[in-house]
Amino acid sequence: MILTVPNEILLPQVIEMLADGSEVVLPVKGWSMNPFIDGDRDSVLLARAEEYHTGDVVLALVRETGCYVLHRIIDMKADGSVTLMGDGNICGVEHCHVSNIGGRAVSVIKPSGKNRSLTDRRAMRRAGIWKRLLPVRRWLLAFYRHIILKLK
Amino acid sequence: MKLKKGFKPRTICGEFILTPDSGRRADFSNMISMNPTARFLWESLQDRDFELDDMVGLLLGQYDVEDALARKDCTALIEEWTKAGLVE
Repeated sequence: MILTVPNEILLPQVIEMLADGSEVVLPVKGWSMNPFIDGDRDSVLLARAEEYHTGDVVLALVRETGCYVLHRIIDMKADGSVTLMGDGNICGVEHCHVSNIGGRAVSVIKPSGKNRSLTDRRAMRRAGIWKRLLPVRRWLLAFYRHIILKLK
Repeated sequence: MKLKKGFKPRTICGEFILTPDSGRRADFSNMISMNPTARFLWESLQDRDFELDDMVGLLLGQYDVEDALARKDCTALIEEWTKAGLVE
């Protein structure tokens, strides 16, 4: 009775709804946004934003692959080109234009139903610290995935 | 029992699905998929109190099916709908 819809079918509809001003709760798959978002457990609340900034977690259509990702903006240029990277990745970035961003993840919804902001000052500070930890991210992620996630 | 309000019907991937929606928020984390028979019952039972016999009556009136089978299917459906939070 519970339906799994492929991303390439569901996400264009989600982006259309965001463009119309709706908010969308979307379940997240994969581990590329650890430790802030746990795939197959958490959902995110998405909403369209007037502007997007470095540090925002966004749903975007990636230029290289033509696939949608929910990753963090790590760089933006004046011409609207955007570089994205998953918090749970240790290398590899994606590129898109700001017009290919469908919406911003406003909060994470945990399986308990608790909401955790992804946009308040505290969340942005944590994301900034995490970005600076990139050289040791490999080990931190291993610890998170093998120890902390198993305790959750 | 009664069908709960707050579920929006959509067609995605050719499937009839319900998502819990409140205001301008659509929730795709709890999508409920329905086959044509379940859809017919869900649409027919809007805004009214109903019991198992009402569902069975609707099925018998719409489909060429035996009473015992219709009753069995409706019992299973009520169980699924209850689990999915569709009925109150």
